[in-house]
Amino acid sequence: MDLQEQALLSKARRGDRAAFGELIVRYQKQVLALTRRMCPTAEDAEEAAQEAFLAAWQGLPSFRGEASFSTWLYRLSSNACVDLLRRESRRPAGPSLNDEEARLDLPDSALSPEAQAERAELRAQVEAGLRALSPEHRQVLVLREVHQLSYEEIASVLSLDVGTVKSRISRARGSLRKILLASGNFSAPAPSKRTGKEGCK
Amino acid sequence: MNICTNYAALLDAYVDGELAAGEAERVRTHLETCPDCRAYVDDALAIRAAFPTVEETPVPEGFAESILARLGDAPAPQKKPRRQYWSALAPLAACFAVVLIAGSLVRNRGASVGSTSSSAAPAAASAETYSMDATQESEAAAEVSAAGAAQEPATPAEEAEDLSGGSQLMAIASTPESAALDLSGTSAAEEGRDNSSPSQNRAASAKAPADGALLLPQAAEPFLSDYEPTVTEDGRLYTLTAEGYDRLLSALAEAGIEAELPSPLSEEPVYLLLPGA
Repeated sequence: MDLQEQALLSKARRGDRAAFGELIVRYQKQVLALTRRMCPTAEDAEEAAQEAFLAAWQGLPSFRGEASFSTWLYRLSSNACVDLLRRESRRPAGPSLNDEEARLDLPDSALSPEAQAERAELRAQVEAGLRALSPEHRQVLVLREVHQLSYEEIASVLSLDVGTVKSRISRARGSLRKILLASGNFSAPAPSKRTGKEGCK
Repeated sequence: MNICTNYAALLDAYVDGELAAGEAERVRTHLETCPDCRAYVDDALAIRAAFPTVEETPVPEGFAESILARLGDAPAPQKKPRRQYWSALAPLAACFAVVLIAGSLVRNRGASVGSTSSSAAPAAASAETYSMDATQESEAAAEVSAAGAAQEPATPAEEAEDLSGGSQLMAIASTPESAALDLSGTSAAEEGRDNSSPSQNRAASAKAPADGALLLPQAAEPFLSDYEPTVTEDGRLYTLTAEGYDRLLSALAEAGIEAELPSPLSEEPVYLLLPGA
């Protein structure tokens, strides 16, 4: 937690709404990145994200800094999604407004138009595959791949032990891979993306 | 297309960089000779590459503003009730209280009691205090006063046993206030001693356990000249108001001094320890 964030937290805890607004802007993408993949529609995702920030506002006095602010916020976001899904008894599978969003890939000048199209296609498939997973599996995979949290950090967010996180990630990734392979469109991407990430030869 | 059973549990951790160097090397070697496991790892990395990033997440226009507008309906952050704050400190106070009793009793009689026997008690005490209810607390505190007086003729060894095994004594520090008050009353008045160390008395009157204080970096010392520390065995113990603590954090930040200190917990005083003599 940087000092500026600490100062913002300190002010927000005393009721400074402008400071809390700055914290929202700092973390809105992280929170929405999680809620959009946990909730069935973009509207639900926005609602859950708002609920998470409202819960943060209410809970600031009891936030003791044991976990980082982001970890705590992810936990609140995750809870908000679970609450929303339960409240509305919805299942996240099925068509979603996120489909369209998933295809709105940002241009990557390093890639050819064809490669960009392939990447956008694969991304759409990954998003669709994610929605076919159980919320528990989707959650760990999103926190790992989108938020790039370590197993330990994910365990802290979800109040799980690291062993459970490890096995969930393994099952979630295995399931997602099967879904993508079964779709028939999942093919090995360009070599440059296949190697070098983790030192695999 | 099946991954090897021996490596099934390792491949994801490998992809996620969660393996120790030795294990990662073992997996890497295996991947060179196993196309199925290799395919799994390649696919996992391809899936990762296809995931969107946080930065690419679109934010609805006016998102932050709409939350802030909803705060208008919500009450401002509530301070935690005082009781909750103290209850968080109670286990620490319990440790301190028992150590203080043990230390003063032992020193008063010029006897030597192994540190292990006195240090075992606080650990038990902190665990026990969680399960005490209010009635038990007050009853137990009363019993302690009596027990303290009755202990006069006991030998140091017996006292050490009492400290580690006596449930009444452990219950004394259910709240820091009662712990500090009872302690000063019991130990000083009943024992009639005059040779207790000044630092112990000051620490007790500060009602704060030195071992529960936040640790300050040495570089913070110049920023504390306005405050009168209590000298303890562990170092200098400062008691700052929440406001003073906030000012200190800002000052340290401005001076570029790295300190892993949390934001103020509440409006309650903050205890800070500058380690060293």
